[in-house]
Amino acid sequence: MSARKRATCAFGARTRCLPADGGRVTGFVGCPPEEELAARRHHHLVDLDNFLEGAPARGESLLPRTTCRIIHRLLDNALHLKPDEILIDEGYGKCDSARGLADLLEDLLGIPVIRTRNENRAGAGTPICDSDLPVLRKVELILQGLLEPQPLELRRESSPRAAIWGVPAADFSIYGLFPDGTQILGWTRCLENRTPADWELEMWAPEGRPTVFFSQTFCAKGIIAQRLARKHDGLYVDADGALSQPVRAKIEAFLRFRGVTCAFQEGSGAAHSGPRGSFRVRGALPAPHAPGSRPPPRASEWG
Amino acid sequence: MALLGDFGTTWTKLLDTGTGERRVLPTREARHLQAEIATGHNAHRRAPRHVNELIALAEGGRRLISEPGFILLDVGSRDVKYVRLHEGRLLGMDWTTTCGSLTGFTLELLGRYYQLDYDTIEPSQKSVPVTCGVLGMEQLFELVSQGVSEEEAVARFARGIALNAHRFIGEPPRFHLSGGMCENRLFLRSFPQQVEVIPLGRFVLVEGLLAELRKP
Repeated sequence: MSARKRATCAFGARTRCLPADGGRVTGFVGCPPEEELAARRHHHLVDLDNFLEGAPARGESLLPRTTCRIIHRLLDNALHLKPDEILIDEGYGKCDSARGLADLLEDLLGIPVIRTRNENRAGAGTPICDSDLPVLRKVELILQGLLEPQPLELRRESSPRAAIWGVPAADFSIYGLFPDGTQILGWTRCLENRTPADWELEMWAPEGRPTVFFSQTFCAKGIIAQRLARKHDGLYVDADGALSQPVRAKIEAFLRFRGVTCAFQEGSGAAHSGPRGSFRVRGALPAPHAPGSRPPPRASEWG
Repeated sequence: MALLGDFGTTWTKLLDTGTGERRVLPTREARHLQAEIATGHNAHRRAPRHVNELIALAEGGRRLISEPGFILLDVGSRDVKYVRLHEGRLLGMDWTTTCGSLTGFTLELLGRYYQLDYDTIEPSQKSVPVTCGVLGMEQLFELVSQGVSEEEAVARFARGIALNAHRFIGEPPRFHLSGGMCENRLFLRSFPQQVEVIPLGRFVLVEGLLAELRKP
C-alpha cells in the first residue's frame, strides 16, 4: 500500500483522509492565497503543516538541528505523502526556513512546487478566535477552514479571561491548559483572517489580558513573542514539539496567579493529554451557517 | 487529617497534617505511598490530586516568607526553578530541566563517592562550568586527574552550580532558597560573597500543598 493511501488524518481538522481513488494530491504549506487553494479544492488537499499519521521522522538527517518542529513536520509529511504538487506561501507571512524547505523538497521529490505570496489585506474576520469555544476547538476550526471553508454560527466571548498568542502549536495539548473562550492572537489569528502577512494584526494584543506568548523552539517568532510578553506583562514560552512539564507548569502557574481559573481541576488529567490529539473537547462542530441568517461577524465589527 | 507529599526525583518529603509529623525518605522507598495531594516529578502516580511544582513553590513561599516581595529558588536533584512574587502577584518564574539538570543529584552522588563532609569543605573562589550535572562532572574528573584535590574539585563544582543558579534568577543581591541543597553548607557558601541566601529547607513545596488543602 502506498504512503498516499495509508495517510490518514490526525486531528481530523486539517488533514483530510486520502481516498484511494488516485486523484491528484496537493500538499500546501502555510496560508497560500485563497484563489490558489480554491482552484485546488477538487484535489485531495493536504495541509503539510499538520500532523500526519504514519509519517516517519526523516528530517533529522536532512535538516540542521536548530530547525523548528513544524519545518521538520513539513518535510516528513511531504516525503511520506509524495504529493503531486506542493503549494507554498513563501511571502512575508512565511519564514526563510519554509522558503529553503521548498527548494529542498523540489530537489528531493522532483515535483512542481508552486510558490505563491499571500499579501492579502482584506480581512475575512476572526469570529473563531473571538468566540466562546474551547481553544482547541477554535484552532481545529481555523485549520479546517483552509480545507473546507464553511460559515459558522458562533457566540462571541464577551470578556475573554486569557489569551494565547502564536502560530498553531506542534503539540495541541497546550490549548487544553486554557479556559474556554480564551482569545487567540498572533499568526493563528492572521490565519483565520486569511491575512498571513498582516504584521499589525499579528502584533496586536489587548492591554491587561493575561496572555501567553508561544513560539516553537528555534522559530524566529520567538524574538517577537518574548518582546511582546515583556511589553504586555505576559508569559513567553517555547516548545520543541511535545510540551514539556516545565512549560505546562509555567502556563498553569501564570494563569493561576493572574486569577484565571480553568475548567479542569489540577490532577484531573484533563490538561495532561499527549501531544497528538488525545483531547477532551466539549461540544460539537457548530452547525453550518443557515442560508438567509446573519453571517459571522467580521473582525471590524468587533472592534 | 491528610498526607501531603513532595515526591521528588530522589527524595520524598511528607507531611502528616494530623500529627504534624514530617518525614524525608528516598523516593524509591515511597512507591507504596498514596498521598492526598502531591507535587514533584512523581506526583501523578502518588495522589489523586496533584499540583505542579511552580505553583507549590510559589504558594509555599507565600506561607513561609512574610516579606511582600521575594525571589524563591528551588535547587532540586534534577532541576532548578524559581518564582518571583510581589504582593501575591507572580512577576517572574522559570523552570529548567535541561541546563542545570541533575546538579543537586550529582553533588550528592559525588559527596558519597568521595566520602566528603560538606560541612567542613571550604568553598572555592574558582568554579567549573556546570552546564549540567553530567558535563560538570566531566570537568571535575579532569581536575582530579590534573592533581587538584577531590575536595577542591568538588568545591569548584558546587560554586559552578551556585553561580549558574544565581544567574538563572537574575543575580539578585538577596533571595530565598528551597530544597535539599539548603542542607549543604558548602553549596550555601558558594554563592558570590555579597549575596544573601536565606535557606527555607526542604518542605517549602509541601507547605505550598497546605494552601491547596484549604481549597474546596
